[in-house]
Amino acid sequence: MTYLDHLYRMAFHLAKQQEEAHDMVQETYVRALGAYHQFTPGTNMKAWLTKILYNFFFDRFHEKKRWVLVEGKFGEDEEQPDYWERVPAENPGPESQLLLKERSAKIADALRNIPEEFRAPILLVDMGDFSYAEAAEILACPVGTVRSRLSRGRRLLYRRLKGYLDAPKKGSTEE
Amino acid sequence: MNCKEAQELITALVDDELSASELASIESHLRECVKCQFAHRQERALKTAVRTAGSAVSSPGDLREKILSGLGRPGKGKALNEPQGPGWLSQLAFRPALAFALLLLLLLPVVYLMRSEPAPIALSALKSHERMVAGSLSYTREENPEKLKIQLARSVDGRFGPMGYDLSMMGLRPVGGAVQEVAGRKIIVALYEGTAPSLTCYTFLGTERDVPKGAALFADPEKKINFYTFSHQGVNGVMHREGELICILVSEMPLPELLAVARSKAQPS
Ligand SMILES: [Zn+2]
Repeated sequence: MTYLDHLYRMAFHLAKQQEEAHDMVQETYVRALGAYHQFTPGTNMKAWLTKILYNFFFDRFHEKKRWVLVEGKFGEDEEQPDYWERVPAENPGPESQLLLKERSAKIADALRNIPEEFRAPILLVDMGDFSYAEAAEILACPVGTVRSRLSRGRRLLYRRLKGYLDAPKKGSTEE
Repeated sequence: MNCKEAQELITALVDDELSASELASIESHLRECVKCQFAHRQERALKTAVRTAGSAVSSPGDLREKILSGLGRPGKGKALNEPQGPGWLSQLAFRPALAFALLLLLLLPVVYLMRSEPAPIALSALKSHERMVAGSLSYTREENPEKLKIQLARSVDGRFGPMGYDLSMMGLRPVGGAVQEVAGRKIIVALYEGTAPSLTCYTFLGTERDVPKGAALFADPEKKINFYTFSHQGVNGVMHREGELICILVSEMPLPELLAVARSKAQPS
C-alpha cells in the first residue's frame, strides 16, 4: 500500500464528498513538501503525513471546536447493552466481491454518520493501523481520549450497522 | 470490575493496547462474564469489518497525476503574484533531486521490513562512512575514476568492480577508495567528495538478505528495483541490488535526496 492510498482512504472517510477527499490529499502533499524540513528522517512518515491531512481537514471542513465534549450526548448508555449481539463471528468465510463491496459501502456510510470525534480514532486505528499513541499525536489529544472515543465510537458504529452485519451471508462457510 | 468498566478495556484488548495490569484485570473479568466475552468477540469482528471496508478504498488513478501536476505549478490555487510563504518552491526549483525524491517518498509504496537476522555489512557501512569522511580510515587516493575503478576491482581479484557512478551532477567526484572485509566478505568502498555532503558507495556480492532490520522498502514500479533505506545517527543509507551486486550509498545528505541519487543511477538487473 502506498502512502497515497492510505491518505486517500483517510480522506475519503473523513470528508463528506469525494471531491473534498481529492482536495485534502492534494493539499496534504503540497503542505508536506512545504514542511519537509520539519520531518525527521527515520521517524514515522505515515503518521506525519496523516497529521498534516487531519489538520487540513480540521481547519477547512470542521466547523466545531476540536474535541468538543459530547460525552453523554451520544451515550444512551445502557448497562452493557445488547449492542454487540448478533454481529457475526470473525472469519465470516469467503464473500463474493459484490457482497464485500456492498458491505464496505454500508460501513463507510455508517462511519460517515457518526460524529467526527468518534470517527477519526476508528479510521486511524482500524483502517490506518496506527497505535493509540500515534493516533493521539495525530489528533492532538491524550492517549486516554483516543481509547475512550474508540470504545464509544465502535458502539455508535455498531448501532448504525445493527441488522446489517448479521444478515445471513450467502455461500458463507466456516473455516 | 463491572461490565460498564470493562467496555473500554475490551476495546483496548481488541487493539492490543493494554498494560499488563489492565490485561490481568480484564482477563479475570472475562473469565467469569459471558456477556463481556461475547462483546469482546463482536468488537473484534467489527474491527475486522472496518479494516476490510478500508482496504476496499484505494486512491483513484488520476489523483496521483493531479498531485504531481499540482506540485509542479507554484502556488496552486493562490494568486500568482502572491509571495511564496517559506520560499520552499523556489528552493525546490534549485534542487530538482530533492523535489523528485520527495515525490518518490510520498508516492512510492513503502514497507517497513522486520528482520531478525543482523545485516553486518549495512551497519558497518554506516559506521565506516564517518571514519572514511573524517580521514581516520585509510584509503587509496585516486581522483581518476577509471583508474580508481581498475584499482579497486583488482584488489578483489577482479571478481567484481565498484559501481563507478558518475555523481558530477551532484557536485561530487570520486576521490579514492578502499576494500574492507566484513564477516568474511570483501566490500569495495568508493568515496565521493565535493560541494554536496560526502558520499560513500559500497559494492559487494550479496542478496537482498543483506538488507538491515527496520529498513524501509521503496518498490519502484518504473525501474522495477527495490530500494531499501535505513539510518543511524544522522547517517543515511540506501541499498539496492544490481544482479549479484549489492550497492549501498551512504551519506549525511537527507534521505530523500540520497534515494533520488540511487534511483537516478541504478540500473535494473
Ligand atoms: Zn462483563
